[in-house]
Amino acid sequence: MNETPSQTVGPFFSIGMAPRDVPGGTVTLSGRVLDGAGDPVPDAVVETWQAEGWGRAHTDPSGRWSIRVAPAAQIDVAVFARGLLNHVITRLDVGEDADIRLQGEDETTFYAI
Amino acid sequence: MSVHPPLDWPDYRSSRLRAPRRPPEPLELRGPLLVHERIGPAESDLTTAGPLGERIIVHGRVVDTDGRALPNTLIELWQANAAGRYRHPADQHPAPLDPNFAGAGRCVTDDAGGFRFVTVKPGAYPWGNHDNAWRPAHIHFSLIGRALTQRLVTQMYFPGDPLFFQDPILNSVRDPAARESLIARFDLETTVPDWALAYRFDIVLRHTPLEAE
Repeated sequence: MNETPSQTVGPFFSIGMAPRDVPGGTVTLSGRVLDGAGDPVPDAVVETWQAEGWGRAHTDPSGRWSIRVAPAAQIDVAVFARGLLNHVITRLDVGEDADIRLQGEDETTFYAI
Repeated sequence: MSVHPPLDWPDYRSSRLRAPRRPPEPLELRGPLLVHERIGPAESDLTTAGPLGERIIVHGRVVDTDGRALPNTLIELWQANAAGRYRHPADQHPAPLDPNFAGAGRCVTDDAGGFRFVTVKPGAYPWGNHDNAWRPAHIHFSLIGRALTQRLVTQMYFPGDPLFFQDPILNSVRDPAARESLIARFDLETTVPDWALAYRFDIVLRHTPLEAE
């Protein structure tokens, strides 16, 4: 059987996709999401994926997000937004403020899994 | 060939400054496999407050590409009300809010991968993507399985909608059969006489990283 295709989360995801920290999370992972013009993306969803569970944040008007996660060196992260027809996946180092640049010369490295 | 839409899809205006341009690099995931925690009571009936609109049952099964049931999959959904308005501060469409409709629900799938929501049929709404652009009626679905490979956000559409032809979001799915799979099937058998119509929407997720594809 073929997979069901992805569609964008659109602009109104916050009524259905509630933010949450990783259960028992003790470390803060945070950063910004920026678009191809370098402007903040104020309507993105960032999710962290770990064996301990998943966490989720919505970006604020300055594109900032923050999630309490379980201790780890690197964490798999999925980003969703209006304008993204499928989520994108990257891997962030814990301890650094991570800017996720969706597009442009210093575009973040995204992965196909 | 992936069933998923290309990220770079200029017909969808919001993608122009947000879609990455470099091809993604391959990454082999080794996990993790999530153990599903309990979510508290399911909120699968969106109509308890008595909203206006056409009451419908939306149900289906979540399976993997081998057709195996995926129990304990978290489903979150959200939608516009019957007039085509979301209860969200950014929605400025001059259609009425319904004080009796929040437009969000969630549940986890049962042992057979099944789910069932009761809601109202959402209205179409204009969105400014192009001249006289209207989104066809749709319900947003977010699914969380046991691994990042089983993460999907999609939209369910209704059969026979005359707005499909001009919608760049549905049409970003290039494969016709894959596009068709986003359109629920009217399900007379599940209809409850004198109470609600019914639609069936089955969802297929990938395997977890530890299983052969």
